[in-house]
Amino acid sequence: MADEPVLVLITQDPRATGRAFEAMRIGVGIVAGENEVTFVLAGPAVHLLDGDTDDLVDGDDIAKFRENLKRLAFPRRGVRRARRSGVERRGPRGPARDARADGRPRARRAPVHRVLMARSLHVLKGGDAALALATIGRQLAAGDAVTVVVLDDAQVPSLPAAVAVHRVPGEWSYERLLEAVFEADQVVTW
Amino acid sequence: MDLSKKKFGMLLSTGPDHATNLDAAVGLSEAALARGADLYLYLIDDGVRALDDPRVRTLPDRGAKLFVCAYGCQKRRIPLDHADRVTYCGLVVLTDLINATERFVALN
Repeated sequence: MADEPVLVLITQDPRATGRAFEAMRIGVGIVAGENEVTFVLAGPAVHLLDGDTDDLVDGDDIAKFRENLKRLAFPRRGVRRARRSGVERRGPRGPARDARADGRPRARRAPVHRVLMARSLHVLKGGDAALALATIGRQLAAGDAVTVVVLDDAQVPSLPAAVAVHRVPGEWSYERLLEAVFEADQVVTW
Repeated sequence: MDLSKKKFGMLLSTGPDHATNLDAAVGLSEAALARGADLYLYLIDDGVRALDDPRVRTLPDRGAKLFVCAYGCQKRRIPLDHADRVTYCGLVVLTDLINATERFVALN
């Protein structure tokens, strides 16, 4: 997963648990590496941005890490050359293949199965599935192939018919789940 | 699918009270080891308490690389008693694992 962008999704309430700060700490740690990191604060996690951190669990640490995030002045491991440095230097190969004088994006085309379709695997563990459902909906609309795995006896939310649903370890073994993890282009646990 | 020598990373941030996460971590770990994959498991936050679980503690005997957040242990006053079997470390190692593994799954 080298150089892959990382999304840090924080949903916990920092007024009630230290897990919100811990998630922020992990994210800051990843920022210190070479990955592009995006933080998403969902629901009560937005209180991580409260001006006054006195009412937050680990409030002093939150204020300190937030300052670090603002500055983002982390030392990098040296300047690396772009892997395809020649790409920007070359001129265009020829005339544009899609002559669209109107300047609009091309009409949506059906994806080619297993070639253009991104394969997403969502692992549901029984928490609030609203965000997962919204994400799955957008992926389906974009033509992605979506598989959902439900762990243990977690409830299966109402899912679109195009989504394959499997329960682990009942229907699928952990070995099958591991295979699915490697088959997928993207794995998200909720 | 041949998973031998594939690098599989996992993060566990919940304790034994979240049985679903712990069971999934153990299940996926055992599956990875059975299939010959290289397993890297990082315990962080309450996940450091999973070291009390014998299923987790014995994973290094079967070839797993087990990393435990030293800060998380310190914060919970958990002594670093298993340094001969696990690696107590910080977030830089986690970053390296995310980058070095072919698949990385977070169980939060």
